[in-house]
Amino acid sequence: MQLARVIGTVVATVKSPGLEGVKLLVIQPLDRQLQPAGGQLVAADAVHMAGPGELVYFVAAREAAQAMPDPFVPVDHAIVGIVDAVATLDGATP
Amino acid sequence: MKIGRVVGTVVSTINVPAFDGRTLLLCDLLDPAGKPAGGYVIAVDSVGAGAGETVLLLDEGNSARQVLVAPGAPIRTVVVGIVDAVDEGPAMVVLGTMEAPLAATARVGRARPKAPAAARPNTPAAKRATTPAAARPARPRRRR
Repeated sequence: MQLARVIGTVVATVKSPGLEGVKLLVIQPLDRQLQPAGGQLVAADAVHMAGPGELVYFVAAREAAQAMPDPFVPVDHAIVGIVDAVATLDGATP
Repeated sequence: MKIGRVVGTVVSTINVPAFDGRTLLLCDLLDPAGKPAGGYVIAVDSVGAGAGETVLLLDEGNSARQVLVAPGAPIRTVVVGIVDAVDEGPAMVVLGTMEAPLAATARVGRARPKAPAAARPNTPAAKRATTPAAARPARPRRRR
């Protein structure tokens, strides 16, 4: 799992069966200092509460679909939690 | 599996139910020599690892779910061990930091709780607990 910032939403009317009602968000993966790292991704929102601007963590690969109500859906990145705080040895980062 | 160093924790209240009650550890990835290999990962703890410790990371979903006994959980990365040393070629690399020995001591302390008083019959506490009050010798009164 990695940290990411939600930076937008994706609206799609025509979707693969099983993806109806699934919220899709654009996320920017972050490094440990919370700086952008790598390309942006579209992730399914498995917590139903994430929104733009929020710090989240996401899971990639097959396990992303496991986070959805129906685990047999074409999802390869899913937001599985909203971060309250990241406490590191260097000092806490809100 | 990969080697990493725990550098912190991630706190989250709103999450997928599979993560309830689990500890998320922020781990820097290391090369076998113990140097940062670049990158990090958020892993679910299964061994009670703490900040500063060098750990063994399992990064495969099916095994992760088996280790955590969590069928269907969206978990891929799990801390499955605490590394003491890596024997790489001629030299043995001892990993860990200042915090590691302290954390290890704390863990041993928790793993071996103090036996109850009754199990240690020769201590004063056990004698008090097993002898009725009337049978105890009267305490000599201190004179003023």
